[in-house]
This record gives sequence, structure tokens and C-alpha cells, in this order.
Amino acid sequence: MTGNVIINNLPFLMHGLFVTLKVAFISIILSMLFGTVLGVARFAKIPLLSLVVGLFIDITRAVPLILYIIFIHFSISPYLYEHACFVNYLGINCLEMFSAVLAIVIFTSAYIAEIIRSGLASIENEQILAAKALALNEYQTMEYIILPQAITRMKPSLCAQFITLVKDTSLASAIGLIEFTRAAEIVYETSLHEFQILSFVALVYITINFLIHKILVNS
Amino acid sequence: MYGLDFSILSENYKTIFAGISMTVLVSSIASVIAFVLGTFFVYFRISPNESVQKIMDFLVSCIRNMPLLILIYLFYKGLPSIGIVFSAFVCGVLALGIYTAAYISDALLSGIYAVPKEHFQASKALGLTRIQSFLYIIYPQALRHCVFILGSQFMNLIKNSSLVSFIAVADTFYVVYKGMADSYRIYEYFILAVVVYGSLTLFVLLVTNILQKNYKLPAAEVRV
Amino acid sequence: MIDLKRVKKSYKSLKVLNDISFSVNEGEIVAIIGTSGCGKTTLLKCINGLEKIDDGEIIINGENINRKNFNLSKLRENIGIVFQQFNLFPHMTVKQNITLAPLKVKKMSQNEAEILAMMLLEKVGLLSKMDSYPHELSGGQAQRVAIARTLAMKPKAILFDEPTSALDPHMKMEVLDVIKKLKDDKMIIIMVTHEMKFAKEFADRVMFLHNGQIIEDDIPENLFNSPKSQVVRDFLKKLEED
Repeated sequence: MTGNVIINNLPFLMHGLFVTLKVAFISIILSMLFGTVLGVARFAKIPLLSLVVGLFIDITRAVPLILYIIFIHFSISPYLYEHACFVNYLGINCLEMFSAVLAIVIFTSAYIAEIIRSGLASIENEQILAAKALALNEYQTMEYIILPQAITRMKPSLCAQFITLVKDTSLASAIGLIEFTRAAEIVYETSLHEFQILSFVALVYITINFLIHKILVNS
Repeated sequence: MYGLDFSILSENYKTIFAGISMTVLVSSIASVIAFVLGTFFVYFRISPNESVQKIMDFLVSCIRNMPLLILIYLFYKGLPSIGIVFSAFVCGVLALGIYTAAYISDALLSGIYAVPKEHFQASKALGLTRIQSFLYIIYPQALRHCVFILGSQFMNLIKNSSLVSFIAVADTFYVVYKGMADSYRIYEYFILAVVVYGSLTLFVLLVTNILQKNYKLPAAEVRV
Repeated sequence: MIDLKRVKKSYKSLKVLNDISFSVNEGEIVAIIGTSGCGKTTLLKCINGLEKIDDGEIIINGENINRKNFNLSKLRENIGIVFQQFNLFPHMTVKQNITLAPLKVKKMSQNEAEILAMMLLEKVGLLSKMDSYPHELSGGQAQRVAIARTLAMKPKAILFDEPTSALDPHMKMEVLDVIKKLKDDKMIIIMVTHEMKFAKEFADRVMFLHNGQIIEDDIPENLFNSPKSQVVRDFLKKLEED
């Protein structure tokens, strides 16, 4: 009986899951990109820029993501979506998805920036000194000495951040994006069996995040 | 050009104030639950019995790997369908408390790793039972080693408390969302929310810094 | 040739190097001794261009290294430095630590660099540790690898910053033995050290640094047996008592 509810609605649920994974994938790539730029900008201590970036990062980290999603969806998102046709190439095909990705990327970038900055800052000064003494230039020092060590140290935090991001996509249900959580809601609103459906959904999220953890930790 | 007009906020100050109070209330109760439950979790995660350890680790990582929203729905919509009914407030607080407890137990675990190995043996040599040595020797030290990580988990809890609005608990975010939808004064309400959540998390940060300054143990042996 | 003229450096109000002048000729081996915190490490870092000086001139092979646009990278290819704490790169094997700079800075071929690394590891007696990681080495072994890493750049001068002070007596000997072998290579060696016996036997010249100034600069026999200044006498006497 219960199994039936899930099996009968499986195509619909899977479509929701597909949207969740798509939003998560696009957001991870973009927030890694922006996060790295912001993190390096804050690390580099460029007078005005680092201050502005730092302020953005601190404010963003003090506010719930759901607030960003709603705010962006209600304010700048419709305007931006109309003018940014290129997002279609990323696979973003509706305003809700655009708002969700935009909010998640802005939000997560702030967290990733902080991971990158502290990762770079964690490399002991002696290592940089030793590289200098061997006549390596700044780029070589970055490429061969700082980055490889920093990346190893950042990996657990980045992995945790990606898992958080996958979970965060569930908040896009608030603006009506039919991703996995919203799809589940629609199914149990029509068929009841809330507990079974929600347990199934929880299990899928847990499995996905376990996999992300396994892949990233073992790579 | 859109002109900011904060009179909308002063007109609704009663609702807004009620919302902020609700956020504080939910966060406070959930914090206590998370702290107690997190301690409970970590006690079993360092159990000498390996299977107990494994089961607890698994449970904690399951909680960490599912969205908080799903956990809240499980309490509010899932449990009634198998005959267990709580109020929305209780569901929200419980879900938030359990979810954060998983993270708190991680933080505590990192603190326990920082406690010198000799202290475990020393407390055994004194003839303390396992619970005694945990409560009197290990746990108090572990707490002091992870003040900062704990603080950031409580800040996350405050931010995450906004999700109780999904089950119609009228907290700050609920009020802000309703306000935005009703009046369309999006920017005013957004700034209000930033200020409210910003000050609440800042408050926790200040408390954390004071605790860190006064109680942090020397980091010589900290290895996380 | 290394030539220092009236070099000054201070951190805030603390004068670390206060009017230092000396020159070191081709193939000369100089030991710098003195109480701790007297600016010895800073002096070496300045010679290598790792720290900037406030005043004076450091002239190496006829070039002032503190003028603008001076190619510090070129300088560091010619002057190597070995640190007190080894500073090996923890994410690279011993071989990779040694070949990194020859590959990336001197643009040697992989093959050439590896042969060089093997020759140098043979020289410091650690050929078997070629594929180990730094954390698998003892302190003495790590320091010998650090020496090999510096030698891989084929420097004309090599600076040692208390290379044995982080090691226990047994490991000290193995590192000092490696350093002694360098005498045949006709390099300039400047070594900050607390090993008086070693300085006495090995160095051509010993300098005594005190409060940022060189107060004695002589051949080992004179400095150790008949020091001119009271400070040096007290210092040596105190050492004997320990």
C-alpha cells in the first residue's frame, strides 16, 4: 500500500529530484567560482576591495538563506531574469529556478570565500619563506607550495559546504520551485501517507549526501 | 527611484516585536535541547564499545545529511499520519534542537580529541567510573577547547530557526515574509530582517568571544 | 663575494642590526656566534634578501641587492639558506622537495633533476629515503634533506641558520658531518651556530654578534683563546660553566 504511493508517484518525485540535483550542481560550480574570487580578494588585503568584500561576507553569513531567497525572488530576480537570456544555456528554465540559484550562489559564495581565505592563511609563513629562498616566484609559490597544501586542508570544509548546499536547495520550495521537497509535498497533499513519503525523501537526501562525502573524501 | 520608507515598520511594530520574541524563544529552547542532546550523542560516540560508537556516528551523520526542512515536516506532518500529534511550536523546536544536536556533538568531539590522552588514563587510575570521568574530567576540558565552534553552531541555530515559519510558527522571518507579501515594502522588511538576525548572531558572537577569552585552554595540544 | 657596509635594521624601536660591516671572500667559511636574540637570524635573512634592510648596503658579486628592480630571484639561485626548522614541504616526497627548484627555476629536465637529486642524497647519506615524506624522517634526516635541497641549486654561497639547534646530540653529529663535507666544494659558508667546538675546528673566521653589532671578528684560535672584549670573555666563561 505504502510502497504503492511512492512507486505510483515515482516519475513525478524523480523529476523533482532531477531539479534538485540540477540546482545543486549549477550552484556548486558557480559558488566555487565566485567564492574563490572573493576569498582571494579578502586574503590579498587590497585596501578598499578587501574591506567591501569582507563586509559583504560578514553580513551574508549573519542572515538566514531563506531570507535571501525570498528577497531576491521578490526584488531583483524578475528584472535580471528577463535580461539575462544566457542562463538558459545553463539549463535554468524558469524564474523560480533562477531566483533559487542566484540566492544560493550569493549566499554560499560568502561561506566558500571564508573557507578559501582561512585555508590560504593557514599555510605557515616558513613554507613561503622556504619557497622564496629557493628562488621560486610568487606564482610558482602559489601553485606548488601554498595551493596544494591549502586545498588538502580546505577539502573537509568544502565538502561540508557542498552537503549544506544540497540540503539548502529544499528551501527553494518556498518560492514554488518544484524540486524534490516541493514534489514530495504535492504528492502527500493529494495522497496522504505523509510519514512514509517524507521518510523516503529523507533517505534519498541522506544517500546523496553520503555519496558526495564518500567521493570528495576519497578523491 | 524607490524611496525607503520605514514608517511601514513602525506601524506594525507589535507584530514585528512578537516575531522577534518568537525567534528568541524558539532559539533559546532549541539551544538547550541541542546542547543536552549533543552531549548525550557525543558520550556514546566515544563509547569503548565499538558498535555503539558506529551506530551513534551513523545516526549523527544521517541527521546532518538531511535538510532541516524535511526534519521539521517529519515532525509536523509525518508523525500525525501515524497517530502522534504535537503543536507546530513543539515540532519546530524539537526538530531544530535535534538537527543542531548533531552538529554540537561534532563540535564536542573535536574538543574531546584535544584533551590529552593521559587524562583518560589518569581518571581511570583514580577509580572514576566512565560517566564520572566523562562529566568531571573530559567534558569540561572538551567544552573549553571548542568554545568557538560551539558558538558558530548556536549562530547557525538562530539563522535556521527561520525555518519554523514553514509550519506557520510566527517568528521574525514569518512576519517579514507576510509583511513583504502584504505591503510590498520588500527592501524595508529585508533591512529589518538583516538587522534582527545580524544583532542576534552578533550577540552570540560577543558572548563566544568573552567565553573564549576567559575559558579557552592553551591550544598547544589541539589537533582536530 | 659578500660585502656588507653599515647595515642597519630595526623592528619598530628595537635595533636588530646596528651598523654592521664585514666582507666574506670566495671559499671562506664564517661562523657567527653570540647570545640568543642578538640578530643573527635576521642578518642571514637580509643577506638572502628575505628581509629588507633600513640603511646601508649589501653588495654581492659587485651588485647592491637593495637597489630597486634588483633580481632577487637570481640572487637566491646563488645564495642558498638552510633554516633552523628545516621547512621541508610536507606534501612532497624527499625527491620532489629537492627537484622542485631545479625543475621550475633552473628549468632542468626531469631526468637531469632526478639524477642530481640522487647524487645529493647519496652525498648526505639518505639515498634510501628518496620516496619518503618529510613526516617519516627524523629531525636529523630532515635537516640533511634540507641541505641537499639547497645544494640542488648549485649555490655559490650557503647560509646556515642554527642548523642543529632543533636536534638532539646524536642527530647533531650526522648533520655537522654533512656540513663538514661541504668544505671541499669551495663555497662561501656563513653559519650561525651554538656549536663552539664545531666553529673552532671548521671555520676560517668567527664573528661575535652582540646587540646588533659585531664586536669581535677574528680567526678561531684568537677569538676562543684570547678574546679582546669583556663580553666575549664572559660569554665563553659561561659556556664552560654549563
